[in-house]
Amino acid sequence: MSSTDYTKFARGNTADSCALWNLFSSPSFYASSRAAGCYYCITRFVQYELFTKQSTGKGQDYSRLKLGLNNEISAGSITLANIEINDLQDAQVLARSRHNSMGEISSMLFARKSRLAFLSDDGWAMKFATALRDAPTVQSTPHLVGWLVYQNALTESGVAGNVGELASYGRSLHGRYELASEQALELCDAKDRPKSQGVDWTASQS
Amino acid sequence: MGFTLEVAGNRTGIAVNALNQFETGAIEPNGDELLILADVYLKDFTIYLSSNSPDTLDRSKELYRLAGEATGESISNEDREAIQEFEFLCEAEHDMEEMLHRAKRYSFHFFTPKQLHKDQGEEVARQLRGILDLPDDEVSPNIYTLFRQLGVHLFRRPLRSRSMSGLFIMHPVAGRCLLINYEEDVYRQRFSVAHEMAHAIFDSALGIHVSPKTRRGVDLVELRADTFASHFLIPTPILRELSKRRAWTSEDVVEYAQKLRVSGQALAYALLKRNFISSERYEEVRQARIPRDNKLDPELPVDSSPIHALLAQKILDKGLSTYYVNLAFDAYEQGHISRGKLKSNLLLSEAEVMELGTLVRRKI
Repeated sequence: MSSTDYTKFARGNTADSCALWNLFSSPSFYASSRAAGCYYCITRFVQYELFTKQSTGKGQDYSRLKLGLNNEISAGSITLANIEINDLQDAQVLARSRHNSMGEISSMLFARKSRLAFLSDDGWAMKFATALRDAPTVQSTPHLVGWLVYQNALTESGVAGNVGELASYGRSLHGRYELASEQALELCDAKDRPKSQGVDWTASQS
Repeated sequence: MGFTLEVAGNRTGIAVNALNQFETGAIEPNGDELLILADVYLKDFTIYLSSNSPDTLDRSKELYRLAGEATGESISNEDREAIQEFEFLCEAEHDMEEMLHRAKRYSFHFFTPKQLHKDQGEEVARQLRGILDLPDDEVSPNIYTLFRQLGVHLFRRPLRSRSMSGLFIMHPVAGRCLLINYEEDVYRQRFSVAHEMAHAIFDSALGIHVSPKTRRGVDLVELRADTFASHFLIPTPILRELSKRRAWTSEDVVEYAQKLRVSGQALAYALLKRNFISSERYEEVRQARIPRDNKLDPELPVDSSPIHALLAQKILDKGLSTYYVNLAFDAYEQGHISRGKLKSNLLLSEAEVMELGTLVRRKI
């Protein structure tokens, strides 16, 4: 059983580029999350990775995604943020420059500073963010899928649709999304059972 | 990289006016802008934060100056970028080797002799073949792998300049780094890597050395490197043995150049300099050419499956090595680098990393 608590999900997130693409590759997934009250922020470095860096999206047709993402940013639905040079001068951060990408570092530092959650789908980036002093809440898009299913904001067929949309961009998280969905459904089943069966009702607060 | 402000503006997405103000010191970049600049210029962002870090920006300028001097032409932006990427790959390779505790397979004492003499090339080539367990009568199968096992960082990347065969950098962190011009003939590249290895052995005190394709005047440093390369790739005992049975016609030169995986010209020159043929015979055979399609790249194994051959070719075409790609995936799988860092260390997009991961059967 996963240690992820699908009954909870922090709605405010600073996303790294990989998590943002995973979220945005499926318009219905993104829309479901927004309808459930989630909001997203990206740092200026991540914006550069998504739109300016020459290798971004090479080999796949990301133009439609970029256009949609740009519209969301222009409309202020996804906000832009900056970290400061002082934020980078943390010894823990300097020591990680050989291990983490600059997009991950920028995103986790802004998440820490702004008290938003750090949204990433990279296990090692999540691990480091968790180890930071004053670590932000760290969560992933599979966690979001599970939480949306638990909230009844996403159905099983909706999850299958997300997986298909992601796959069309060569992104594969199907095993993780399906597992999150199954585990969230198990939690829903457990919630509906009588209390005498040992379910902790206090855990089901969102 | 020596971009104009307009090019830097396009590459970074930062307004030209702001870039100009960063340059003059009128304003400071914020943290994200500093990271963007580090990414575009392929530098570790920590060097911009520390006053004790090696001055890599000055080293790059010196390198371009020396390259221009050696080749007699100014270095194009494309070649500056290729050299910058090469330095980045060497540093990343060094970092990942440290993280994974990768040890050199062979131990070789690199030294700088007090006096320069071209015969040192012959002597050290013989010593190195001994250390690498290469018998005198055996061709070194994959010279690139062997040199990497000595601890040098070695990449083959296309350079637009036809006047530059390769270069050597004594990097303050990564150590000995060799860049070979991938645009050149396959056997010429093989000679170039042995030549650059000689600079790594003898000339580390120079810090940077750029090897032009054609030279003006006599340069003993280059002559020693050529002597090393020739004796390393074409050991005298092989020539002595073959000369007992061969008259060294053009056909002989082509046949044995192919077996030794050197150009006909390099073999003919070695035969002349080591007194196995006369100067008249040399004039007859020095134009002997191996057809281009018959030449074998040591990093493209002939006995591999079509899929492996395609993979090896793809890796080479991206300016990487199979060793480097495997090292990066090992570092990722063992939790030393994140997925984002894997992508940036491979200098590839997300989609390209996914494709490469599938080809090398690595899970990402």
